[in-house]
Amino acid sequence: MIHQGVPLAEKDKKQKPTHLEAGAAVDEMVYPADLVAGSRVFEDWRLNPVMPLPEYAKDYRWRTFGLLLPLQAAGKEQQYLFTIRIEDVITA
Amino acid sequence: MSSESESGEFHLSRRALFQTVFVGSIAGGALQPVAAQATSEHAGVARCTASQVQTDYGIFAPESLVLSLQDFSLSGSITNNTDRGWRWVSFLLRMRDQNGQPIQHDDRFDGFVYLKDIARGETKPVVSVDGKQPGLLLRPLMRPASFDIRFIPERSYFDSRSVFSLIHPAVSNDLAYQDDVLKIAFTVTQRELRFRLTNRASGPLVID
Repeated sequence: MIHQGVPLAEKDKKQKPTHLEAGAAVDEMVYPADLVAGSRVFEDWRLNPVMPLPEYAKDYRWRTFGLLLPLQAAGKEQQYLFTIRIEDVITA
Repeated sequence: MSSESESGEFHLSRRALFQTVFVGSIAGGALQPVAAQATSEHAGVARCTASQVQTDYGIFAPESLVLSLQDFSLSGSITNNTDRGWRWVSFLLRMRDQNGQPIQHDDRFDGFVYLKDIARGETKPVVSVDGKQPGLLLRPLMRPASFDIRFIPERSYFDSRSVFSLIHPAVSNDLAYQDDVLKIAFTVTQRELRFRLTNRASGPLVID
């Protein structure tokens, strides 16, 4: 995964952890590094859509995707797995 | 433009390949660019004969679509009578001569018109790919007497909205979760997953 502020050319490098003081909040964006498309030769990068295009969206109903969030609290490591399900696709 | 590999084969860049195909198609089909030939024909128009364009989602209704025989620009509008709003709709012109016979035209890149951001029931003028007045790039081989348009599904995109729920570690329709360590709320967009994370622990958190 890459997150906010990471240059797309460095998508495969290890990224710095985020430190968050007690009571503080952070707004983050995460994106699968595998979906970053581009060229190191031309230094041209783009993010492909992470969700299916509207015309195919109905095929993905009931599918799930997740985010594994490793973190340290009070010196103790723990992992949160958040799973999200596509419940419905509504046509405008 | 082009390069020669060690094997002696020539490789064309995509731009060179396009130019080759473009020039080849004009020369091969005897098609002339519209701008390259001054018209001596008396002005006139060809009209769209289709009153309905069928899709899997209902119909589009062309209204007063006309093709100028002077500069081959296209004008008119289309009403969206389908069951949904669209971000982008593509149509392809099919011209006919005075005997009703189809006129061959290079439709790999010419003859397309579009509707952009059109809601259900809305009527909008047709536009070119860059939002301007559409028209043919190449003169037809014969003088068109009429035309119709065909819906191109693989180049058309409609609006939709997905409804998500968090199902682990707890069920939440708001995509939110909290415990003694953190509070988190997700937002899913077409392009990315966003979240706001608040540290509810008594000490600092390190997110790897």
